[in-house]
Amino acid sequence: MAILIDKKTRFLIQGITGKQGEQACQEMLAAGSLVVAGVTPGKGGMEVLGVPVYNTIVEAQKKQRVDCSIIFVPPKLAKVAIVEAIEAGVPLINVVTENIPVHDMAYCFSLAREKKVMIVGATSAGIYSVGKAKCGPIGSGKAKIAFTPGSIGVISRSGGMSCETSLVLSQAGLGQSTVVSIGSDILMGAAFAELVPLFEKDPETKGIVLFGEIGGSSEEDLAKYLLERRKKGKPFSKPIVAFISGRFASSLPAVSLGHAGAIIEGTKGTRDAKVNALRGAGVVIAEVHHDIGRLIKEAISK
Amino acid sequence: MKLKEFESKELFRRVDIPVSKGILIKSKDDIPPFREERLLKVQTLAGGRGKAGGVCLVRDAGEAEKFAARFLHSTFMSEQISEVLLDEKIEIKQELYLGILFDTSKRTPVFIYSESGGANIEELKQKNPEKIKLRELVYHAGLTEGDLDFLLSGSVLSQNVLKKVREVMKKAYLCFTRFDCTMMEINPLVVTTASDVVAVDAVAVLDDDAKFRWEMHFPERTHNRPVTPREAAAHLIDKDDYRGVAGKTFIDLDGDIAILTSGGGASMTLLDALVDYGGKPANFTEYSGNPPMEKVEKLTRIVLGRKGLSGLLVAGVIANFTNIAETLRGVLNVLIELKPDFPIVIRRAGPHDDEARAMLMEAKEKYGLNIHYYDEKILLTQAAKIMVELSEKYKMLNTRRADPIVKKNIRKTMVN
Repeated sequence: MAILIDKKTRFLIQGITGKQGEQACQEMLAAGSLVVAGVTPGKGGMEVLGVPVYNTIVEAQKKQRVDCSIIFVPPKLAKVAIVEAIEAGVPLINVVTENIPVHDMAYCFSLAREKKVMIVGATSAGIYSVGKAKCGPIGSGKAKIAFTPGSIGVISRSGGMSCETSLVLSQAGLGQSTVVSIGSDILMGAAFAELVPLFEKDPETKGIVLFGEIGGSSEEDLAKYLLERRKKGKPFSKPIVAFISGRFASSLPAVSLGHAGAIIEGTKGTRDAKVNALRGAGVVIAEVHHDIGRLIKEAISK
Repeated sequence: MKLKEFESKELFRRVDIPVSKGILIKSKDDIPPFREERLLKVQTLAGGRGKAGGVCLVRDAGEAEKFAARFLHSTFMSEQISEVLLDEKIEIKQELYLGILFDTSKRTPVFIYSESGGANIEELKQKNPEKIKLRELVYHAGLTEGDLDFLLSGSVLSQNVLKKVREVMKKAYLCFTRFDCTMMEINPLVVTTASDVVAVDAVAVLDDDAKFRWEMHFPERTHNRPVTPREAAAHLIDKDDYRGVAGKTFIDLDGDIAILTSGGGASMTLLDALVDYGGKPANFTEYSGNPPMEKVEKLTRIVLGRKGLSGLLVAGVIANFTNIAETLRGVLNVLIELKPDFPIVIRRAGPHDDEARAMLMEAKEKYGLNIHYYDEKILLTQAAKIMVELSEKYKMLNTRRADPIVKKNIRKTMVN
């Protein structure tokens, strides 16, 4: 078991004929992922590493079922590609592309909500169900050595730190069930609060480790979710350890965003707010990143 | 990119939001002769300038000159001021508030409206939250008549004014979407004694990722303070060479440990650890995406081009594609040239790291460099700890060396 993707997941790569798309395709095949199709408009009929390329997702779907689409399309064209995947009803979309305008993502998220489609990203390094399947560039090349199969779920707002976090766990003798890189854009797709329930249902996952950052509200949203569970008398059943980076970054000069930000966000977004909210909701906080291994080990053996 | 008031108002004019008439003053020569009450407003990026004394009533050109001279090219609210706005004085009947931004929890734009606008809007949120109306919008549906009805329900404005406010709301949303704002705000939106509706102040933040389709462009700004020469030099590295990124982010700090990191999340985590262990970074900068040796060399030269350093920390997570030997060759070239005696801690792993290790060990021997190289077996934040410990030792030794008695002893030992 794992979450989001496994050996049976049928992947489609949008932008498969680009350099990044092709590289990821190769790495995904090597990791055992079932890559069934690629899409690049105008390049239908080609093959990339033996994977058939189609002009549209609908065309690809006529030949086989598609469970997950990975977006490697350049930022200016990403919105069109994501909308195509949503409208084709692909249930899971992993957006790897960086620097997509926030208004384009806002459009995609509102459409995805209506069609009940899950988006992970943008700026995601991918999803890795270790030993089973992966999508996106996560765990490519030498970075492979950081990951070992096991029972800890990892969710990270930083692509690079999804690897380092897994490395810390692996060195502590703890493997990973699924590692999800969720990106850290102003508007993010599925984040901590949406993903921890999936790990809770996964019998293989014994504990969850989070890498959070300052800014945004995904840590506070998780705290709120966990408190609501407690209030309902169904407290979250698996231990969570989090590291929140940005204590130093908070001391750097920043530009205030005016009253509107304060009205909506209040004090959300600061490291203190995130740490306090998570602690209050029962999450164990690691003060130094390399402590997460020891802390989750203690938490799951209780 | 956050815009100043006069820049934001330029956006507003393009979508026909009525704004107060102002003249931008960059030097006292820009002030025309006049003889009525006007407002002089310092152009800052930070909010709250009114309360800090950055807005002033002036009655003629002489007064305006005096005020302008006080602020132009000086520092106000820790910003370097290069413009003031000479604005018409609007006769205020009522102040409204209007703002649009993204709610990160809901992933949707939120429209904020209040008929108690002005400088105390944040306090109002605490004391009388019912006086602020919030409406979540469905992005692909846009701002609907239903949204406007909701926002304006319970309004105390006259029918005539209400109609005008409704129009401004539509135009504000147009401004928000058309110019790729991550937020926009009109505070106050003034109802004048003549029952007109005018934006007297303006804030807009543009999404840098949408720069390719911005209709207007504005001068670069990174921090509230002017860019330092080292920062400017670092920003230039990427200009002529598009392979990888080096120095795009460079912030001068006042510590003594030089920093070269790779990757945003890793950089932040590394610096958190460094500071936790008692270290003080001399700068913050990154390189990533497999830049060529020359770019890393240029960046290293800038990072080390500073006196009083007690260490260099080069660190990143395991690289997928960045050539570790090639990029570290860039660092090493500068080290060989400068031959610093302080400790150098390198934590890098990825393609060609074996080659990098051999190269660094050879240089360590040959040039007597104080290099400590680690791959993935030492964790990122452990490397920060090692750096701080070595740097402390180095500083202790240096202080002892500087001590006249110790100096004498060292000399004695050397002579003997």
